[in-house]
Amino acid sequence: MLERIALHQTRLRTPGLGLDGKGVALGAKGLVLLPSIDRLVAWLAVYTRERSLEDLLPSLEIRLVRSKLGTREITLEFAAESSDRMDRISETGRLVGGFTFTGTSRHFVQYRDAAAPFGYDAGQLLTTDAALALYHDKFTQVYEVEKEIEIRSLLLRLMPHVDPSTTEESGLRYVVAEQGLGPALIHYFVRSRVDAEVGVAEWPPASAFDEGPTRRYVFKVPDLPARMRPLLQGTPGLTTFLPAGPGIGVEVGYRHPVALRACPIFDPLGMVFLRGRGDEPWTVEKLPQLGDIRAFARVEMREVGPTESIATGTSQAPPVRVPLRVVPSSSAWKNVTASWVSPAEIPLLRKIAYALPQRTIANTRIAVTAHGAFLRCPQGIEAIPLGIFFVEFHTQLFIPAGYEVTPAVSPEVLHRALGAPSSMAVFITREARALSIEESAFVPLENALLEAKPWEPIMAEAIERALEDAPVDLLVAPLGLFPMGGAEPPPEEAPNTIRQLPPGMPPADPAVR
Amino acid sequence: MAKADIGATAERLFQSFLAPLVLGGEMNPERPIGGRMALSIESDRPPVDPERFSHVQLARCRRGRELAGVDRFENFSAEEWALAAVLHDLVQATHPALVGLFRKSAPARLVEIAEKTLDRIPPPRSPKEALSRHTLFGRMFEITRTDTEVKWWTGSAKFLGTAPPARLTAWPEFRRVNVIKTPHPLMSLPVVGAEHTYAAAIAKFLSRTPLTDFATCERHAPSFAFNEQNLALLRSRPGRTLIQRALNREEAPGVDAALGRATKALFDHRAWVHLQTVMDLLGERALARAQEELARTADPKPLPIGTAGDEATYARAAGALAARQFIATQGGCFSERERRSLLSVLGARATSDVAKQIEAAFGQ
Repeated sequence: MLERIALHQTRLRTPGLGLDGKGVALGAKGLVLLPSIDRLVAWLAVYTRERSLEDLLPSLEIRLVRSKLGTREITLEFAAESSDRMDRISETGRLVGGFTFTGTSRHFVQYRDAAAPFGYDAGQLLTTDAALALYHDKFTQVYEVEKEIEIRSLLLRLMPHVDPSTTEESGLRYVVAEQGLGPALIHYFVRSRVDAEVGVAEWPPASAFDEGPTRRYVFKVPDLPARMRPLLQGTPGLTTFLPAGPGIGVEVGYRHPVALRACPIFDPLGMVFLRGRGDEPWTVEKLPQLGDIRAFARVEMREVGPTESIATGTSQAPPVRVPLRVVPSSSAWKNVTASWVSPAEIPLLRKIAYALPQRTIANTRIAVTAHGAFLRCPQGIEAIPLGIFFVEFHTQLFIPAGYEVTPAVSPEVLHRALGAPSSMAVFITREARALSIEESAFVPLENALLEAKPWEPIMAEAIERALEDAPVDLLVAPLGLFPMGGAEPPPEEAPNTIRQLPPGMPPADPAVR
Repeated sequence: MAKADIGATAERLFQSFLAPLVLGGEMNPERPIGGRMALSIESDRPPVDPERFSHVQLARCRRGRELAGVDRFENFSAEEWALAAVLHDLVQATHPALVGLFRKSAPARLVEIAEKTLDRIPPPRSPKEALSRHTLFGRMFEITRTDTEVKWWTGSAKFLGTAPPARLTAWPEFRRVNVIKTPHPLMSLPVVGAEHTYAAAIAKFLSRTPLTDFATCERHAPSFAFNEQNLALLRSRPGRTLIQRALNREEAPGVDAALGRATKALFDHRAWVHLQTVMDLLGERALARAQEELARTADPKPLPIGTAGDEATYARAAGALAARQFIATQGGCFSERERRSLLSVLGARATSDVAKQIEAAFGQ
């Protein structure tokens, strides 16, 4: 009843079946038909070995279906998404003896294989009310859904396989101890200096005859020493678990058939402890608060002797310092950036100054002291062949070139021992004398070389002129024909009307200070 | 005389004479004003040009603040207008064109009118008024007429107080033009027919502005002399302070010489009452000079009295005597050490021959 889809075929009969970009027939869903539950587990084991179920889980539905003949089989339905995903799932299904179909609602046709690279189309659809109608080149069958299978419960019901190799695995481990063993295990860990955290979890009583909930100590041990592993695995009442994924752990010595790390269906805030031997898993919905085991260590009080012993005095530790020495060294010179010109050589420096290149003069700084002149040039002082050369041993610390200090302490230690502030340059001479010079005393050599020339002051004439009174320049203008025409003497008056200053002056005028 | 003429005359006097006298620059006096007009100008007559007037007032403040802490001066008083007009006429008495064919005695008559007018102008009634007049007329001896003599290859010409025409100075190299400018101060200008009375008229003018009289005591003519008017100012404490400040601005040798000459004249006339006032002035002056010497150096030397026969020695000796007298009678303001130092510095002057003569004269 199936027909191979040809190249460039566009018309398909199966409802919900279409062609993707590659021309492959693809429905909205994919379906894997597995004959039994162990094949389902095998499919899950194989698939999760390589990749995660995370992208499949949202659409994954596992059902137990029954055919008209009464046979029960397992279907695994999921969103098809793309032919790439379908190819991977189909390959895994073929490996475990399953058949892969694609469709949208009820009618699923066989997914493509080597015989039909573009897939198949149903030549004639079945008329049925069944939940599933599967069209294969070997069979055409309808199925009714009998039961949904939850993947979480499926995984929890699967019994872990015995795997002794897990006992050698290192890393984080959880140890669940019965209530009576918890305190002893805490002290054991504390004594053995094992870092661990501990909390107490409660489970409901197994039967009505129990007095109360079952309490167990849950230890989280980041790195359990190898010597303790046999003890913890062999002691009744103690169960060790290895984390198998977020929120789930498997007992040491066992391995779950499905790679649980690829099944993110467990709450990472809680913990499921899968036990071997067919025991039911221990589930903790939310991990209890864990505390450092050192907080639970046994406390003992000292009962004899005084409460405290008080020291009567303090003193400095006996010194072990030795004096600094400067000794000749055979090591090569490097970083020679300073020199010390003695007072007797300064006249020679003045003569050499005429021959120095401009760059050397510009880069060199000089400090003239009573002990002579100290020259510094970050690019190298060898251009001025005068005086004792110094190597910059440390920032602002210089020792003679060709010498080294003993004891052979590091430059930082020596600088710190001298105690000179950062504003001082310290020169250690061959006699191990330390001469310090203020950094501000170093001035550019080009400023210090030239002697000041006498200069002539220029007076600010403009200001003087502004404040100076202009001369009173008398000009002679024509007076006309009768210059004395208006010049009349004052009118005659009686002498007593002339106002005269009385003898003596009046009191001081307050307006005049 | 009509009122309008008074206003026009006052404005002309201010613009052409008074403002240049205070501010400097070209002074261009015009026809003589005469005594009647000089005494007619009222005190509340501000000049028409407020900007130039404010410049004048600012310059007066600057000059006044050299002697006292004054911030403003009032408008010109009637006496100041009159004095300005008199000085204007005295300056115009030196005008070369004033003497004409039918007016040979015009300069002398103008000087006579000026003197008569001065008789009608009272001296200052307060130190403030004296200071106000000084700010107006303090530069009267700086009035200078520049005469220009132009010589060229074929002749020469002299121009009194006027600039030569451009045609005479053209092509200076080709025509070998030589221009000689000679400044003549006011007191060196000829006054035809009034050579003897002109200095007296100026002295009378100075008696109406006594602070100017003291401030210019180093002048050659008219010589400084004590009179009733400047002694009246000297007798008051503020007046004496103003005079001290005005004198300290001048060069000490010339001032000492002027004061010594004037003091000696008082001694010669035995004017003991006036001498007491003058001795106070000289004593304060000597004391200030001694204190300057103490402040100048840690090892002060006795102040020298000067060359024998110099008129300045008279003032210095009299001042040292007066200062010593002050220290002896009112020297409580000084410490014992200061007194000793001051007496030591003044010792050479107070024990000089001139000082002994003065002491002898007072003793008699």
